[in-house]
Amino acid sequence: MHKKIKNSILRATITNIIVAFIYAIIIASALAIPFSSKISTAISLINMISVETNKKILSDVKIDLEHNKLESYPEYGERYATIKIDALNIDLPLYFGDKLSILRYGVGQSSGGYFPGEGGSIICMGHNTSGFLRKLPEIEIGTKIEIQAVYGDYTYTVYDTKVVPQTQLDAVPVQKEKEILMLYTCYPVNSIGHAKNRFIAYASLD
Amino acid sequence: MAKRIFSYIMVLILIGTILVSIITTITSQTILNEKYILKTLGKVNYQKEIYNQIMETFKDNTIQSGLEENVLEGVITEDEINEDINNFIHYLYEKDTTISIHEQDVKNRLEENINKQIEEKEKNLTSEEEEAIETYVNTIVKIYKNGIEYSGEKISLVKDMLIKIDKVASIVMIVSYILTVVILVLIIVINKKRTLKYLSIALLTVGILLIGVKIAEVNSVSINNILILNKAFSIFIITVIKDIMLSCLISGIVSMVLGIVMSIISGKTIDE
Repeated sequence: MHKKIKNSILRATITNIIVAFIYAIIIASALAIPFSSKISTAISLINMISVETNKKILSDVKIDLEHNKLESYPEYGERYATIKIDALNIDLPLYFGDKLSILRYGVGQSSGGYFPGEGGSIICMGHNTSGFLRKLPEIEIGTKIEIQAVYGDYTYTVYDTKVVPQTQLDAVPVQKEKEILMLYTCYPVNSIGHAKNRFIAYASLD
Repeated sequence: MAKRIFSYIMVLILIGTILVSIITTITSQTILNEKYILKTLGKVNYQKEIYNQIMETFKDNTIQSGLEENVLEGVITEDEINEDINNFIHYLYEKDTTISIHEQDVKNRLEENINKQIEEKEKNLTSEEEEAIETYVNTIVKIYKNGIEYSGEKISLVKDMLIKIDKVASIVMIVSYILTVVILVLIIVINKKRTLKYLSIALLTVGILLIGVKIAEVNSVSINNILILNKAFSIFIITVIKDIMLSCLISGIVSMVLGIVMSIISGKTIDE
């Protein structure tokens, strides 16, 4: 008798669980069908702001010489080269990225431009303090600037220099016709407070 | 037969009202609850992270100002940042409040330090340099303000939105509680013998759906790597999302257990 009751209770419970699953499937489908695109968009947005921390190895950064394009790029904030101006005793790490927190450690490269070897504008900047680009305004026409990147070495010759207001963004144009390195720093270099001008050195690829 | 079909429709509605009750309760205890937000900010050391972040950004901006780094000494304190963040959260969650943070104190202290340094250097400033220093001071104060309030202009919009959502969520929560009771009463009236069975099905379905949401979240969304605005804020958001998901999971498990228990009792009752 007890066994019969137990069996029927078990049967009833299993039936209820199956009915519950059917209800769950109906409700999930009823919500998923009209809202599936919104749900996918929400999931994509969340995944877009999820930053994977598995960094690729820097040596994986290579250049496709046929198409003048990097096959893969360094991570933002990553050092990928050294920039040298022997005439001014400048030998600094070059990072991809131009946030102030990056410029604390060396020269930064704008993410809005191109990389050495890609045939376009390379826009780099650094602080005007000693140990960084304090001597940049002393650079002369004809001075060599070297960029030793993990994927190759590039040498540029200075052909022009300018002092411009910081708001004059067209002084560092982004273009892909010719490989030009534009290296700038705040000016004047011995200023106090917020410097309103920028000293820019323009150099073309040898 | 008609009675059974009607009962199953009532069960479907009951599932909806129970789910809405659980979701609005979880929401009102988490993202719409000022005390929970302040507690979670403390748990993830948000205030200390913001202090460190603001100081680092101050230093980044001071490097090429021509001023020594000690110009930043004592300009901000952890206690003031703590107080300002608490005030800011209170402003977001309470109607008819205004926000006040220590930006004027920061400005005054910084100007005092700068004047001291310039006096020590015995330097006479040109009008251009005075202007440059004023720009630097305003930049530092703006960094402090944005570090606490993020985008100041949009904050009043966020505040209005939060207050509206809180109001709506409270109404929806109360209505869903009332509807749950009403539906239960209707089920008892229509089919007293099978009330526990229908209630058990409703609870089991709610449990399956809530556990299903948690499983879906684990498989399709990488919450642990979310990065919004800055590291401190991201960790806070991740913690809040995890708390909400955990509450859903616990509610789902409790719902399933209750559903199974009711199922056993209803099976026993019907059999007797």
